[in-house]
Amino acid sequence: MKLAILIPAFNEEPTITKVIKAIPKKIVGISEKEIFIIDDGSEDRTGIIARNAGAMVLTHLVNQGVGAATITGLEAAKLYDADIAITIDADGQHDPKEIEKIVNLIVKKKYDVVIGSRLLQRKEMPKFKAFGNFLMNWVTYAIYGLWVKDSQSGFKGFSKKAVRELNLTCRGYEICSEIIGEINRNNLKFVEMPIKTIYTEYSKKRGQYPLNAVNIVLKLIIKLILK
Amino acid sequence: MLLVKILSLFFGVIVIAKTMTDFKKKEENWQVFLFWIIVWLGVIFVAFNPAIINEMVLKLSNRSITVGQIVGIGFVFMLYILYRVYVKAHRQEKQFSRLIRKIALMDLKSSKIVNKK
Repeated sequence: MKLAILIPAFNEEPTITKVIKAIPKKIVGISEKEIFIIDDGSEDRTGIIARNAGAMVLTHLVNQGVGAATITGLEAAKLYDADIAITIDADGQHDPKEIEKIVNLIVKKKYDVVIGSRLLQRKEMPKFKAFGNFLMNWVTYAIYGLWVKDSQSGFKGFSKKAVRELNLTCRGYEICSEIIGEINRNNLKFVEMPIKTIYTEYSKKRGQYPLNAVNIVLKLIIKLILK
Repeated sequence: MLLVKILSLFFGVIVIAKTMTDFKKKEENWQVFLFWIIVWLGVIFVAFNPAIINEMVLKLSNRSITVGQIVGIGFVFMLYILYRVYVKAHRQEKQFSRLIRKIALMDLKSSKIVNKK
């Protein structure tokens, strides 16, 4: 079985090597794996560092947003003919050791999508982020009709079928909600898996700002109207 | 009506100044430069002489028009322009994204990891 690990990265010089090196060398059930860093127009040395750390770097010449980078990653997974694709954040907030659990759920339990849910440490999540997350869960439910406890998680696993069937277009963070919509539209079998979140000063500063929720909601509504 | 005059003058001056700067930098040709100057001088003129619209409509169709109707027509026209601009920008953005992705995947397509078989 082939595994593609997709890491969208924008100016992640301080953490990218650590994230790549923390990915387990051997994963049960996986015979071949490739780490794809989607360097989303970084202005620092993210791409060079990632390449030196042994990853395959796909470079966006201009910053396009995390959604666009994720779509590029999923396209790469198709080209690589991966049986499983896993997305993970580049800021070090996820524990790559948990990749094995996701693989296990897709291989043994035959789930099409596994969503890493940061519920285990909701109390440790900065309050403003927790509020933004809660708000986005409801917005996602209102627009796409599927309730998930952590709709904005960047740690996800996809089966080959899911990679093939997801029709994603969003360029920014709204892609997280769009994925939930696509799970519902394609009737994909999914599960939420509690994950550990590593909150460092760096990872707390990265990711979405709560005010961005307004922007995401607007984009999702426009997308819905123009559909 | 004073607010309309102030707003049109404010935005008119901004647009004209920007157009002039772009023209000087040779980022715009003289036809585009002239077009925006005429349009915005026209907007300012109408804002200071709103009765002119009524006179024009009266001459053309023998009917009078109220300020509310003018604002209403202007609003619908603006919405149409906004829609056209949004659709065009959105299309351009999508094409740009597709191009960026194509370039990003170029190396992978020619690499060993996808051409093993």
